[in-house]
Amino acid sequence: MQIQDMATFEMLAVLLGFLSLALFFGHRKHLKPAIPAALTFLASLAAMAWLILTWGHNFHWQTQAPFLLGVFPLTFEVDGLTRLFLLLLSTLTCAVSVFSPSYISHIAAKTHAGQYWICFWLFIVSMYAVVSSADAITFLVAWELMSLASIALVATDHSHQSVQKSAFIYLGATRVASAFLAGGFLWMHSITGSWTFHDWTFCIESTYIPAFLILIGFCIKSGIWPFHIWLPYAHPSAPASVSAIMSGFMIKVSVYALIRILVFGALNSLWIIAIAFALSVISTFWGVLFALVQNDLKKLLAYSSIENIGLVVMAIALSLYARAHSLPTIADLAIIAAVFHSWNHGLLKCLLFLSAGAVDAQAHTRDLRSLGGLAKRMPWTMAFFFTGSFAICSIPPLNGFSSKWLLYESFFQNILLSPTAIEKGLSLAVICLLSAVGALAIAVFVKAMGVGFLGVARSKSAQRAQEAGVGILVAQAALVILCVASGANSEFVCRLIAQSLTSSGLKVSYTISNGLPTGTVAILLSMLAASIYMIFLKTSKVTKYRTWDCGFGSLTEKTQVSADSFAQPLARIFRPFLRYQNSAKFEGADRRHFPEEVTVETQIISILENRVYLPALALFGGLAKLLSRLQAGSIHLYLLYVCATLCLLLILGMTL
Amino acid sequence: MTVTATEICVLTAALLACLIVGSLHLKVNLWLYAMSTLFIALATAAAALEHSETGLFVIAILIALLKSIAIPKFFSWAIDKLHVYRDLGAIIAPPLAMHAAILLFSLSFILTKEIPSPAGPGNGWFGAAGGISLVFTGLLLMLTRRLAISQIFGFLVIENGIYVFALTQTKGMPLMVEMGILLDVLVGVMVSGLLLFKIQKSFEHIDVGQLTQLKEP
Repeated sequence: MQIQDMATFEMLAVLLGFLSLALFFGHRKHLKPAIPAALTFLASLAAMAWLILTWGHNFHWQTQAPFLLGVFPLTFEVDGLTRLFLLLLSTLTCAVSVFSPSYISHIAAKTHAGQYWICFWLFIVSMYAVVSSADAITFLVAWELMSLASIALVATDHSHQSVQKSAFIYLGATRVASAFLAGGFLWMHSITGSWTFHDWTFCIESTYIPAFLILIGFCIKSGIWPFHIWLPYAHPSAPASVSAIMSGFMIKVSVYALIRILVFGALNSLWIIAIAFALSVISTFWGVLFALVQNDLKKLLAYSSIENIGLVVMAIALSLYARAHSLPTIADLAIIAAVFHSWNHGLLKCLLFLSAGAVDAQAHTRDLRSLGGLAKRMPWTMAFFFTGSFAICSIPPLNGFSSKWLLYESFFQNILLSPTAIEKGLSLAVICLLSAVGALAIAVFVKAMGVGFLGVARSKSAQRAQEAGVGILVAQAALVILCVASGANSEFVCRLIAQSLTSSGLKVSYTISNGLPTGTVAILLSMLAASIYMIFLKTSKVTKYRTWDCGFGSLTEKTQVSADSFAQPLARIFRPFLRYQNSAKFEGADRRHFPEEVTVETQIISILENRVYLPALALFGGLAKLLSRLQAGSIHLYLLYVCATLCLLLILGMTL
Repeated sequence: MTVTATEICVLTAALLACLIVGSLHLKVNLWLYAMSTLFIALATAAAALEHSETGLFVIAILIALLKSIAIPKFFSWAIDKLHVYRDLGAIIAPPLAMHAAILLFSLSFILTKEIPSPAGPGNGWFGAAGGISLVFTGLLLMLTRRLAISQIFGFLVIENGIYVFALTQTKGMPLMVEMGILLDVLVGVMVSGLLLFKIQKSFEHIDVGQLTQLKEP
């Protein structure tokens, strides 16, 4: 009872605190960003401290009388799994709040500071609420708050047409996702008679359709193919501090919910699992492929997020499959891989987005075609970005490797343990695909690193870039340390995840025999790198001479490898998927030998967007227009509608 | 089947309302409306005698004073001010509309037979029929007229219908509620009167047939 009162008290405190903050900051267009950032930092630190101090305890709160939705109490629960995700959220929020002050001052002219911070706080608080909600109603309320707050944040710089478009696309995606979720939740409630997630199991046939609806809802929000369209729009349009949280945590909320609802609910429909698996496989491949041809640094990162979320959903699907076929070893491994990869990807994607934000703030562009040469001007940012890139390319001993290795391991185990040849073959095929995706991911980040940071600046603004502020660097450094620590202590983290999942009610054991050979691999790789360097590179003597310029005169920065030219060979291979077109035009009197003007243009047509979504939208718009003809503007017609409705109701009342 | 005095008054009021639809002269409309409302006041008084409730007497007097004298007077003054004495008519011609109203009047008897009445089958049947007929007549009036002022008349007739339905089905509502509703109607009439003048001033007419901008662009 006391805890219940405490919960009510806390709700009241949060509401009042929020209201006073809103009143205090809300109307201020210009604001010293240090104050709200410090508040955020302190609050996140307090949350983190609470989460760590009360580790191992499970909390269950139910709100009392004034905070009911109708007659329904809001239920919150903090258990092991929740704690893991909340810890990630508070870590990211801490980093972002350190990052924010100097970053926000760069975009201060384009933003309304008060509105930004209010939305930001609402976003963070609603994410805490979503993750800790224990019933469907609470979940949906917090989910909607989270979606709407993030839309407002995406539209921070709403004077640009492109930002408006992104916000609208994102708005549409969240509406559709919420509709699917609400449908699934209502359906489940009518089957089980309960709103609480604990009471939901997906073992019988009647629950398969709601399970499918829920799956689709979360797939839309997490950016799984073919619902990923919103993600590459929303992430680049938002300020870096927001896209870091969005990509770092918000899309993991869907992953968390998938685990909480479907995995804990022991979904055993093979069809749904197969659909989830297929979609996730396609997303990994699609994401990395499109990341390769992006020239906007943040768009590239957004597509890479699609790839990684695909990996996580793949692990979840594998775990579901293995549990349905009672192969507990694989199920445990895969679910640990899913949680661990969510953690790792959250950390390193946040880091990468912060670095991209630093680059954007300093060089005033995110376009790789006009970046370059930042290594000399922003050495620290470069170091952090490179570490993040190595981590996301799963280079040991960084954290991206450990979780991806677990995923590989679970597929290898599947080859060993699964009974039929088809499953063995499929696992093998997926492993092959995963390694291809890994290789492409390396290409993606080599492009981002090489074109963005190495070479000579391709534009004036990139030339004038300077090292970012202290806060920006400290935030990135903290995340780098966490990435390294999480990678180095992967054994510990995995055991922690297994323990947390078990305490949440899903029996998961992590056996040491699947241990990660991170250290060994790291030593082997570094030895390999050293020997390659010794054998091939050390011996070659450096000689300085002028590059032959083909008689064109001095070489400009245009003669470097460009973002397009780097991606071109790989993009050509995957032309059918990308609809990649590369056209060169030579102009001039004697254009064969002495062209005066050379223009090269690459073009990627998004089939999904042009062939599926736009026609669907056009159809919808047409239908809406048809319907809007009912609204003719004539008062007499409106009266006729009223009269007709009245008659219809009377007739219905008579017949029923 | 006995017909009470209340019911006779109500049915007379409903028939008088049907006659409103038949004329385009605003003053005639107004006079008919006043008569119809007077009969409703009489019906209320009869109901008061039947159930021996003094509260209903008060309401009857209020209705007679406000709705059948004050409101018609106000609109008569407004008509003189606006210099519009005839409606133009819309969709169907007035005589036809009047016959349609009488048809609806008889239809409402069939309708009310089907409606489950709290007073039991057959009981209060005529009264309910009168109420529904008034609602239909009001709607028909609004549909077949073009002037904004006629729309207000239609609205007032509908309001009468709802009041009659409540009176005959529930043996009258509490005094406070009825007085509140009366006040609402009065305020509504005042506001719509003001709006009439505004519309006249802005558009130089009060023809709602020409006001077609009420939609998304």
